[in-house]
Amino acid sequence: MNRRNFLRNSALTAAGVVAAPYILPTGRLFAASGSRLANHVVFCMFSGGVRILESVQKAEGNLMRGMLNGTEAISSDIGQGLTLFSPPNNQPVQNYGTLFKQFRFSDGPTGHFNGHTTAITGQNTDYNLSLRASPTFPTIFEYYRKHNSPAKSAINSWWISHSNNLYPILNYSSYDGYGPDYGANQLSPTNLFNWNVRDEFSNMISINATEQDFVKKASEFMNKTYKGGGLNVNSGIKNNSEDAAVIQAFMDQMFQQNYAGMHSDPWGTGYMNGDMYNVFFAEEVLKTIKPELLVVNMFGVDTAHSNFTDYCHKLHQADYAVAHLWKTIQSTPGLQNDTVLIVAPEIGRNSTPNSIIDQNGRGALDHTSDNAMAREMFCLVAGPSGVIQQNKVVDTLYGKSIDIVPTIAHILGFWPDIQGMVPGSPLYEAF
Amino acid sequence: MKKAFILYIGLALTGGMWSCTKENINRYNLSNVAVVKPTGAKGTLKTDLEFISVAYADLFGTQISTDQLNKLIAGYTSVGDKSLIIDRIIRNFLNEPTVQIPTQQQMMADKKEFIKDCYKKFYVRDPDEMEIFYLEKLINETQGITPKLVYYTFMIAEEYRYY
Repeated sequence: MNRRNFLRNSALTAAGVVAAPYILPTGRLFAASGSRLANHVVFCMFSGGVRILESVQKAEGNLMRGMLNGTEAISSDIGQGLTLFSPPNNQPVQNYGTLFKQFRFSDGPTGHFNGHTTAITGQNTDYNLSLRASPTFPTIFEYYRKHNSPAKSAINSWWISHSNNLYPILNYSSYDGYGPDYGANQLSPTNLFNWNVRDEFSNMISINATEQDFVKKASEFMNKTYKGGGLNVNSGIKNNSEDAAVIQAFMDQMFQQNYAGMHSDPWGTGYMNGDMYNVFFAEEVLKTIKPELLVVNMFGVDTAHSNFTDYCHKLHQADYAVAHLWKTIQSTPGLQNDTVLIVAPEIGRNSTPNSIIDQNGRGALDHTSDNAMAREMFCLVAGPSGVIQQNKVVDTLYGKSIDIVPTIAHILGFWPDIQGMVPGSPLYEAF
Repeated sequence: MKKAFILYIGLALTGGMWSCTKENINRYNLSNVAVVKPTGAKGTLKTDLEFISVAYADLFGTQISTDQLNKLIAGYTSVGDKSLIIDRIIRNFLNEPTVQIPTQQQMMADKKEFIKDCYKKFYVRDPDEMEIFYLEKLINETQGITPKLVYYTFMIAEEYRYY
């Protein structure tokens, strides 16, 4: 959708809302006009570029037994050196929802950041997408915070990114009327809660309530008497003081766990890679803070650019991480049976290999925009029965990346408020 | 013709000499006075990297090492709420054993001087009387205030973000 259409549709939507306002107890004038299907959504971006051949089509056997039904034997060469994890749930996650096997990244360059941006904003991108600036259209975090009633604080909205480089900027956009006031709490936990940097952040002076009162009064006085600057000191996301204290306490807890060695093998699998750790920390946020919206990504499968066998191994590990995430959701009071989990890659990979051959003679895989398979993906929507259709498979062409934002909006009850602002629509086949 | 020219030049020179008059020049001397704006004329926002580096230098009296700075940057870029992570960094700095900070006795012995030193250290300016009065009163009224806490307050206030 281009900017002109977006502006026109925004104005029409706003006019429609203005036509029937009412005052809420919170004082908020405009209410979300839809009703919720669940109170929590977790969107796991199975990203790094996943081909449907190795995933839902099981060309190398079922590498994803945590998510997908089937006991197809893994190819012998791929299976060598692969640590097989036993799925953590009684059934694959597929049985708890609807699997779309012919999902598409339909428009825009098939780059990782393009794919992430499309999934998080619900808008297609082009070659002008900046890798240095916030998205130009609102993200799902901003839509959620602004168009929900009562208005949501940042602690309810999280973006757990695998990297502290580039991807953090997807927590809010530069769009007028949205921006950091409605952005997500962004965290790259594997870059923070580790032995290398923990000493710099985990030994703070403590401040009791009396001291906190002194600090508040003194700093308020200083800020009032300071006449210089005029710039917005906190131009990014900022939590209020109560929420900041909760997040600081969460960080304290993570550092303490790290020092105590509790992060060495928290899932008891004997081995955890970066993807699994990123999901682990997302689970800790879910268990501790119980946000209504959390987006977490993975990236390990991008090793496919240079090693096909390792790509398959990473696919298996990422699958386990998703299955463990579902297990955590369903065993956490407050989230159990009240959370929808959406899983989708951001892009696919090429049908033809590049020239790099791995130890098993397999060709590596890139993801170029001129290759149709680089746009073919899957999407899984899992959730409570009565909300999400259980054990359903849609094996016809249905759904696009731009439909994920509308789907989240539909679940959390604000789809009518943003309909017309995004080109996609909810994945109604899952409901 | 030549005589007329010489005569003309001679008359011009003579007239010029007689037309010059001594001009009375009024001179005003100024005493040397140091003129400093109350806000120290700070209007440039420090980048977060500059902020961390300056905070370290202010507290430890030396430049931060590249290794430590890289670790701080790694953690800093991992959190979206920058005020939250900078708060952690400052509080961590203040808890280091090598931080250069007056003792409790030094602060309590002359609170006015301590406050003035804080303004010079962190804001590169002298405080006005109201600022000294207010902060001294607040320290007196609040039990258990330590120099670390006062330093922390100065470092999280808005003015410290500017230079």
